[in-house]
Amino acid sequence: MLLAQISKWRHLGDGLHRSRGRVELVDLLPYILAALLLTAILFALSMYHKRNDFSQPGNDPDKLFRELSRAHNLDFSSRRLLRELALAYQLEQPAEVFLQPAALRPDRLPDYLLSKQAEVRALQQQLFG
Amino acid sequence: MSTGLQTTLEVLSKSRNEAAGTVLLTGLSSATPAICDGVLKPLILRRKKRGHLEILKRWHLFTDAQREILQEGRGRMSGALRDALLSENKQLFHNACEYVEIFCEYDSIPTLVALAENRDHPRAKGATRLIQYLVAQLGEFVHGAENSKDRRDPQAIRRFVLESLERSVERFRRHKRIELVEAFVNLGSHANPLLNTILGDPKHACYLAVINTLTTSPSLGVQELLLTALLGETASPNLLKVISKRDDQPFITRVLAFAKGSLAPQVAKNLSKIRSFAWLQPAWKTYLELADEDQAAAIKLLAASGVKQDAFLDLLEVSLHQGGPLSRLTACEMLSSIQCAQANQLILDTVYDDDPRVQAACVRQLRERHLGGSLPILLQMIDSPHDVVQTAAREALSEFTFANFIAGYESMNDNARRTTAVLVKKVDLQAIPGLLEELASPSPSRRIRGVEIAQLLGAVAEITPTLIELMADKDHVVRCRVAEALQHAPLPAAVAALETALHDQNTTVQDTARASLTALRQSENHNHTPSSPAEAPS
Repeated sequence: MLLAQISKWRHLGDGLHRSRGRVELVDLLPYILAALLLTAILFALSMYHKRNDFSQPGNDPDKLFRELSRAHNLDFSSRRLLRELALAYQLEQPAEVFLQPAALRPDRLPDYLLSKQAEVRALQQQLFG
Repeated sequence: MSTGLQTTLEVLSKSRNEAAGTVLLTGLSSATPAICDGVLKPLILRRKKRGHLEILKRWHLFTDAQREILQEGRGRMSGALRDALLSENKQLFHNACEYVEIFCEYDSIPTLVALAENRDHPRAKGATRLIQYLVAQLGEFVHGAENSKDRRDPQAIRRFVLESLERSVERFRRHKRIELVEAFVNLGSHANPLLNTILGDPKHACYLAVINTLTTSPSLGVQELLLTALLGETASPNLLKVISKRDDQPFITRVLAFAKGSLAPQVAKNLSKIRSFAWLQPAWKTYLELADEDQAAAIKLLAASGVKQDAFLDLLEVSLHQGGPLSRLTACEMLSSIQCAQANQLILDTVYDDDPRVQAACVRQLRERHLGGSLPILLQMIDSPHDVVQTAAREALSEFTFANFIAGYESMNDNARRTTAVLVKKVDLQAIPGLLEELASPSPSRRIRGVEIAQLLGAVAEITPTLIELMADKDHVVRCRVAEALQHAPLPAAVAALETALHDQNTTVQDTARASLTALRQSENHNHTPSSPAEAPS
């Protein structure tokens, strides 16, 4: 009777055979991709945290600029404008602009920034009263 | 200051980013005063030598208000100050010196000492002057009144500076800078091992400089060193010699303060080793310039010292002749422990002093000294208008009490009784109460003696009522003696009592009463022939 039913049980142990245990790389690909993605996210988060952690000692003029900008609640465009002004006045560090009221005088702006007189005036008011 | 700028400065002040220091430095050159002033405090607080050096470079340009802001930097700029002091830049050195001087940066002393020791260095003299100034200031900080504005620990600073100066003194042979030795002495204590080594070795290179400083320096530190030496268990003989040589008024005043209260045993022990004091010479000039209270203290101090008796007596004589009331009184009191002809003469010369307290002090010593002629003086002093003199005279004649008189009465002859009775009456204020007690005695013999003593004391009139009561005594001898005594009481009550006694049951009493009445009347008649109406009895 068993032989008669051989078609039902002949592949019963195939899954346990040694030759059947080999894992193909393609099978792991989704996991690898997920791990890489996770690492990238963690790295990005870490970098973001490090970039904005002002409690760590160091010597980073850009970071100081960000620290000051955050303290003054400056938006992206204001920060960019200040950086442009620092560049225009050839300041050693962008943060120096926070102690240079002369750099924020609307009447002395370089030509290419004349269009932003109003923003500069507002920034001057905000930073130096 | 705007809130925006304030925020910027706060961030730059607190930021752990070193780039903030560079940004703040740009603010120093700002044409905006608020920024220039505003960056000073953050620069100081950031403890970065570069920022501190920049401040020192610009120090001479700062206003008084800005310098006031920089006071926050006291004790924080040591590194920059060291670099500035050692700098070749004259202006920077000058600025650093000024900063150190104004803010009393004692941390800079080791650097200044290094400069001062190098005699060839162009900054050596300036450094030396600054050390002298700082040490003087530190001396006042340590020994003067507490400064509520300065929270630094003066003793800790003193230890730090002293350590630096000690090392310099050890190098004295090399640099020969006497000012550094003086600075060391100014801050030292009498227990300082190095100081004691120098003092114990006259051949030490610093010996003369140390002795000279101790003898002449007006600094509070040196004065304190010498005074604490006096309080010490065993004061160095050299320090005691220095104390004896100093004649400057502030130091003398401080030494004399020891003698204003009761002299501490340790001070007295150390003083006893001092044989002379420079301030007593020449011709007592310095001594006589002292206030009366200080002169009195000086006398006490000398009494405890090892000054010879002759010199001490000379001082007492000067005090008694030229001193104030307190010093005269103290001098008198000090004479009590000196037994010699000069002291006796001083007492006799002073007994009529203007001040009753001085008189009293002399009077107390008259009897003890067994001086001829002192008894009349004492009796005279009993009549003094001043209680203190009267009391002193009575104390001096304290053996002339009524109790003593009674005790020795039987052994005295009539003459001695009369003389002693006069003294007892004057000296003992309890003589009359004692006499009344004697008259109230149950023993007839004591009552009889009492009546006799009343006559000897000349106290009959004072105790007449008691005597009249005794006319009724059951003992006829007592009555007889009372009747005899009443002739000295020219009072109507006494006369009446005598007239009653004429009818006494005892004939001896009657006779005595009669005789007394006769004597009284004769005395009355004598008194009724006055030369002027004013002498008539009232």
